[in-house]
Amino acid sequence: MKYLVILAVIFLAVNVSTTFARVTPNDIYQEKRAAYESQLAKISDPSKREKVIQAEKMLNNINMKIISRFEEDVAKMSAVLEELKSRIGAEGASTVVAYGQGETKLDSAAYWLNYAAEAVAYQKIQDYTPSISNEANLGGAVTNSMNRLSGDLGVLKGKIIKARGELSKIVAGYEK
Amino acid sequence: MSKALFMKNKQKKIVLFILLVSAFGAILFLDKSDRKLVSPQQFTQLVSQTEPSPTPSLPDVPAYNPPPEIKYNANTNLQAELQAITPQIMDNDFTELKTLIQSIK
Repeated sequence: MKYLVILAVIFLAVNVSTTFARVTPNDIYQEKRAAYESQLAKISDPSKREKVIQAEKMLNNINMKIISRFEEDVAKMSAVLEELKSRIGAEGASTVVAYGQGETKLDSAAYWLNYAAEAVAYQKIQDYTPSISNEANLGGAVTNSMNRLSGDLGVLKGKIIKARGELSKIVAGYEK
Repeated sequence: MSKALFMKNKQKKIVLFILLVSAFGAILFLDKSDRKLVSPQQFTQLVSQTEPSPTPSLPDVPAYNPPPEIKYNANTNLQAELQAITPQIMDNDFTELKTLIQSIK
C-alpha cells in the first residue's frame, strides 16, 4: 500500500509537471482572446455585441493615450538627467545599474529613471480584454476591465511621481 | 512455517512493486506516439525532415512612436523642469467609455 502511494505520487508529479510546462504569456493571451471571441459570438443582440467590441478597443486606446503622455514625462526626466551629467562633467559615462541604487548619485538617478521607463513599457503591453461570463453581465465585464486599467494606470502614475521625486532630490544635491 | 510464509509474502510484494514500476515506466515512456526509440541515423533523418515549428506571435503592440526629443541647455532650471512634470490621468479620458458601458447595461 505504501509503495502504491509512493508510485502514485511520482506518477502524478511527472504528469502534472509535464502538463504545465512551456506555457508562454502568448498562450495565456491567445486563450483569453479565444474565450472572448467565443463569448462574443454567443451574444444574441448584435448592437450590444458591437458595443462590447467598441468598448474593448476603447480600453486599449485609452491605455495607449495615457501611456504616450507618461512617455513624454519619462523623456523629460531623461533629458534632465543628461543635462545634469553634462553639467557635472560626467557626460558619456555609462552607468549600469542592475539592482538597487548605485554607488554615485548619478547611478541612483539612472536607476530611478529606468524604474519609471520600465514601468511604462510594461504597462504598454498589458491586455484588458473583458472576461465575459454571460450576456447578462456584459456591462459588468467591461466595467471590471475599465477599473483594472484605471488601477494599473494609477499605480504607474505613482511610480513616475516617485521617480521624479528621487531625481529632484539628486538634482537639488548637485545644484547647491 | 510462519517465517517461510512471511518471506513468501515479502517476495510477492517485491515482485508486485517491480511489476508496477515497469507498468508505469511503460505508460510514461513507451506509450507516446511522439516518442519512438530510433537509431541515431533515423533521428538525424527525422530532424532534417521535420519543419521548424512557427514562432509564436506576441500580442499586437502598435508601432512605436517615440516622444519628441527634448534637450536642455546650461541655462535651464532643471529643478523647475522636474516639478513641471505632472503625470496626468484625466477624468475625461474615461468619459466616453463610461457612457458606452451605460448603453450596454
